[in-house]
Amino acid sequence: MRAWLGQSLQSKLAANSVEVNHRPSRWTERDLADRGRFDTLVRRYLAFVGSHLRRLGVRDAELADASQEVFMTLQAKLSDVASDKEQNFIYGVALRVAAHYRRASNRRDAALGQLAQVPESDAATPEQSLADRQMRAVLDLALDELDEHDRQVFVLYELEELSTAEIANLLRAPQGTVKTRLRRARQAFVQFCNQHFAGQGGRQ
Amino acid sequence: MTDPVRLREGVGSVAQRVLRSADADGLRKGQTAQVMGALGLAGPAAAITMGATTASPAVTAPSTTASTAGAAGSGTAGGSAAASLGAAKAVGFGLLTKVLVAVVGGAGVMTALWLDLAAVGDDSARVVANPPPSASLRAQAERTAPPMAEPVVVPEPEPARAPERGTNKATPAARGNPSLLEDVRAIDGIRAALANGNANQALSRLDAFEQGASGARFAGEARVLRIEALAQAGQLSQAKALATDYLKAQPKSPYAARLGGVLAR
Repeated sequence: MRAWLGQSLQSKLAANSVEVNHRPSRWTERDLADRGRFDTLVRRYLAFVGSHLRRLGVRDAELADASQEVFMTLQAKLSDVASDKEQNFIYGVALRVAAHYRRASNRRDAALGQLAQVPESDAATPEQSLADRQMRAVLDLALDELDEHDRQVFVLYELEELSTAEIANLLRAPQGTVKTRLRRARQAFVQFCNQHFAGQGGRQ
Repeated sequence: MTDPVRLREGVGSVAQRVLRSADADGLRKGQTAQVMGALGLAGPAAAITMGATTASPAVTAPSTTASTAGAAGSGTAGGSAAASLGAAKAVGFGLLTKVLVAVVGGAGVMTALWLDLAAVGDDSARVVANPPPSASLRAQAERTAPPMAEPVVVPEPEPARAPERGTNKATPAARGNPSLLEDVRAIDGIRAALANGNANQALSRLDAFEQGASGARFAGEARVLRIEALAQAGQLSQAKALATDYLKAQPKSPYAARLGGVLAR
């Protein structure tokens, strides 16, 4: 009888105490350590992830959600990520999350028949000057023109300032491919910028 | 096979101006707070600023505080491309994690202590950059100026357990920070009480914990534990009400499954 009662209490506890990643209800030192590690990683990388996602084309309105998604993925996989692989892992997750959000918002725009001509950079950061916001909108447009993989390479090289070797390692692609994509992206980007400003007759 | 000069180096070029507009990219304070809350992490809204960390491996460790870690350098040796990621530029990678990892590896408790005390002590202790940061880092630093976040939560390792899967699980840093260690033990005590079916004991331990808690280190966990304790103590309607409130505020919280369990009772 006692065993039966005890068991039922235990299973009740188990049911109520299952954490997201299904750890036992009693915290072990390992749980605390993982928790501490996650806390550290968030504090260390949150700002970076936010800006990186934005540069990869996630819209401001979705930036918080996308950032959260990156870290929740990290949390779920944390025990499989070695300490010295954390950065690469986070980069990889950010790339995938950004691609996902871009696809989703493109689908939404297409469905609404509104392919955004000028991204909502205007609304997002009122403290920025109008000129800055307009320039940032041009950047969004220019990057939108690029092929997805070319854009990733371009952002990693030109904005995050990784080397082509580092990008190749990160994307698990041959360095030659990375360089080709970079060349193509740079050409398209410069052309777009020149055309955009030439078309405006010097008005900025 | 050298890499081409970066477009943003092209002084006065159109491309350069356009690229520089990305310098201020990133989460604003409110967005940062939102994400922190949703991840169940307590503390001041400010996440660590990326600003003002340096590229140079030799100087980052002593001059940076744990709390402002512009983030981690990779632990691998120079030969690997991944190791030199960005050389701290726009992403602000210093070698702080390298130090932390080395410490975790048991290299020096004193270093860990130093880092931890620096983090715990002066709120205004910020990262001291050595080489001046690039414009993008500076913009980041200015945009996210606020006081520093909580010191790193790193609990003490269990002495008998060997490191697993190449990850470093804990650091001696907790030893140098009595309130951190106390918090960790207190939370563990609360969980133990719950696991033994002593909900009322858990609740009174929770009261004591919340009165004495330094900062808001385990605030989220304490809140969820209280909900679980109330449920176990039979105060189901109150537990469910609190659980509902929590989930409404933070639907994507890591605690969602636990709270869902309470709601399902």
